[in-house]
Amino acid sequence: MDDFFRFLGASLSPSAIDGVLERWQSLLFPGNLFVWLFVVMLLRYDLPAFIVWIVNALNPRAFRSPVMKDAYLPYVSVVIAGRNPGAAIERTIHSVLDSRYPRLEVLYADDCSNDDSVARARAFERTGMVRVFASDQHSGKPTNLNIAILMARGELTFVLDSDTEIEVGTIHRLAAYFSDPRIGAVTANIYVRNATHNLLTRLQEFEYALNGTIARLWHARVGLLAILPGAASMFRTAALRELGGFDAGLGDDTDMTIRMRKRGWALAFALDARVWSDEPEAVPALLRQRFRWSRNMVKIRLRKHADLLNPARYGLANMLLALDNLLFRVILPLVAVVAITRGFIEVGPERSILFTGLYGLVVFLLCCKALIANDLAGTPPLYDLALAPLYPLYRFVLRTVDAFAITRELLRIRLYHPYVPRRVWKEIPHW
Amino acid sequence: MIKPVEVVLLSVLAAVRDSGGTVDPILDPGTANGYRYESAAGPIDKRNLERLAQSDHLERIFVDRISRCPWCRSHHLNMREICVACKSPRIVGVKLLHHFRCGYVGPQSEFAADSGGRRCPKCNGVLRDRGTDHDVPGPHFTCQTCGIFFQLPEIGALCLGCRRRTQGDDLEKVVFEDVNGYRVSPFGASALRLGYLHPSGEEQLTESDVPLLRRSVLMAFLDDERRRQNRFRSKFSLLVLSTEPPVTNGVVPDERDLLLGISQFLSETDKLGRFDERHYLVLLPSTEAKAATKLAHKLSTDKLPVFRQWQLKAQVASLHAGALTIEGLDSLLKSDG
Repeated sequence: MDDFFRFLGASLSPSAIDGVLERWQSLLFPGNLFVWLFVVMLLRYDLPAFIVWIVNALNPRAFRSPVMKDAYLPYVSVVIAGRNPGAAIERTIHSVLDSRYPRLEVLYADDCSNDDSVARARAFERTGMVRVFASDQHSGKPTNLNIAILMARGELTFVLDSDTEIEVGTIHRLAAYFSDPRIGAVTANIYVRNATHNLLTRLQEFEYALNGTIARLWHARVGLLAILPGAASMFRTAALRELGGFDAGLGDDTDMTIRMRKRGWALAFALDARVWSDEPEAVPALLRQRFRWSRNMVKIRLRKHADLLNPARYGLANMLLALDNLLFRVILPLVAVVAITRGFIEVGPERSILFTGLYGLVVFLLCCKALIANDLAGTPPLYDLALAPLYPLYRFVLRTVDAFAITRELLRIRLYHPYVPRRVWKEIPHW
Repeated sequence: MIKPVEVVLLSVLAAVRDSGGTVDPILDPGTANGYRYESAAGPIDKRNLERLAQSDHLERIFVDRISRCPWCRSHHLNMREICVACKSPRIVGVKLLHHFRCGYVGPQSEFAADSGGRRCPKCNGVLRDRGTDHDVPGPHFTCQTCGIFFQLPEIGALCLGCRRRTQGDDLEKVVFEDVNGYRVSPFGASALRLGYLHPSGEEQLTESDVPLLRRSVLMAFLDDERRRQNRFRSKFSLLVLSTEPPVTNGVVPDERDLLLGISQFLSETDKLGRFDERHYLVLLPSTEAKAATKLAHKLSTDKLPVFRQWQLKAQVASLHAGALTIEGLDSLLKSDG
């Protein structure tokens, strides 16, 4: 803390500012890469949040879902693919049936569960609104989603995870977007249901609010929405079928997002369409999840859809998306881990002042963003602001995992992932 | 005085006896019941057979089960699979194919046949080897009326008599009726010997004039004892008495003396009942196997002339669950000769 105030004091005088800048410029890489990266990160991650907040302050309806026209009430097929969800599938189906949307059906495709999940789901068939398809072989989530999509009758298909619950009005708010014929898909706003379980889940709640809610909000507004999470996204059924459903393999939701973009569909984010999902409660599970996500990102975005970088073919927006992904999802994790570690080692006696100051600035900006997210979406709760000092450390650990996963995927080391059954893995192309 | 209805029933009983002791149902969809019964003497009304079975003069032998319309009781009930949404019976099974390479799932008809395999409509890959590059994900149906896909069809019933449909929860109202064959019971055989049906009411617990329980009654007592044993750990034993009825000049002597002789060895809580023409059962409540064995030995070795005349032999029956049924005891006795 003393170091932080000394940093502040040191920073206030013009000569001090020059001195600090000079010091920063002499850090690490030649060409002031660290500084520029930091500036770019500020512009990329923090400035948009402030812009969003100002826009919302000037026009509170700017980010709300469109009002559903009375005449437009499309039939919605809620498709759920799951493997051993257990009692969670009952809660999920209950939440859908209780959502008060008048025209819907629920299709649950079970991926060869070896517990009583199928029996639990079949109990809902008596309602006449639920159909269950139980596979006798494990084929993976994309295949089972495709089976459910095949069975779907709705004009819209709402893909939902088997452990995710929706609120009353969620489907209404998502469906309202589709009165615009340009819209191909809308993603819901994911909240962490088990946020109060432990520190780890609270940090994830913080993360989802900043990186999920705020980030997706402005990404969608500028036409750069990069992901339609498989946990809760609604699609035009015709668009899904035109694309042949989900592709087999890892990163099915990332892949579907890019394929939708390539077809020219507009994608939206419904800030007020809330869904609740359980997130990993233990560190190993969280790291495994992020490891898989980073691998998906390289596999799908960098390899399978490398042609997104061609603006002549897929437009400027998609090219910017691909560059953004390359810079901030691939290069940044690799560079940041090395840069921070090296900087920590090489910087001299000023290390503690500089890094403390920097850390303080980051925490301050995080608090601002958290307040903005809370103002717009009610998440994270204000008491989570106390986590802000821990959050950069949490993110650094995850970035390290990202870096490791990206490196391994780029070098094609141990490519197989048990998320995909082996018999399917052997057949799918590995870009 | 014998009532007219008893004359009819006795003649039916005799007809069954004369048909080899058993009468079986004959499938005949044109009849009201779907089945009819015939004896050497002519057709038999099922209601008479049921009446005799209710009074234990006949035993029922399960043959089949028919379903009846809950509204008009007709057996012309057409049960078929129907669509889960529109309830139409116009559904067909659909074979789906799942292509591993691209994850596409669709009806086989979408995969055009091509050079020894089928071509995927999504990625144009060729499916050749089931289990290697594709598989068939389970049974699937589609409705040709409303077009939906589903995995488990519902069952619906249409009565060809009254044309009413029964489906969903109403299916519980469909009446399922057993179709039985009928066999003359030992009780019925005794009635035929006597020339009159055993009277109904309390006397039906025992055969007339002798302290002998009817088989069905004794089996019910046996079942009670078994349940008591399971619940309260009480003990009981069962003796099987086998005899060789002595035939003199073509006449079988009255078994009354034999039964009275056996009764002398039994306490007032013991129950003596008929099993078949050659065998009797003695149910000994609250009796351990050791005591039962002693009693069996006494009965087998006693020098009472009627016992020797009937060649009475007694043995303790095995009391594991399978043996304590008519079939179990039947096979036990057959195996013992």
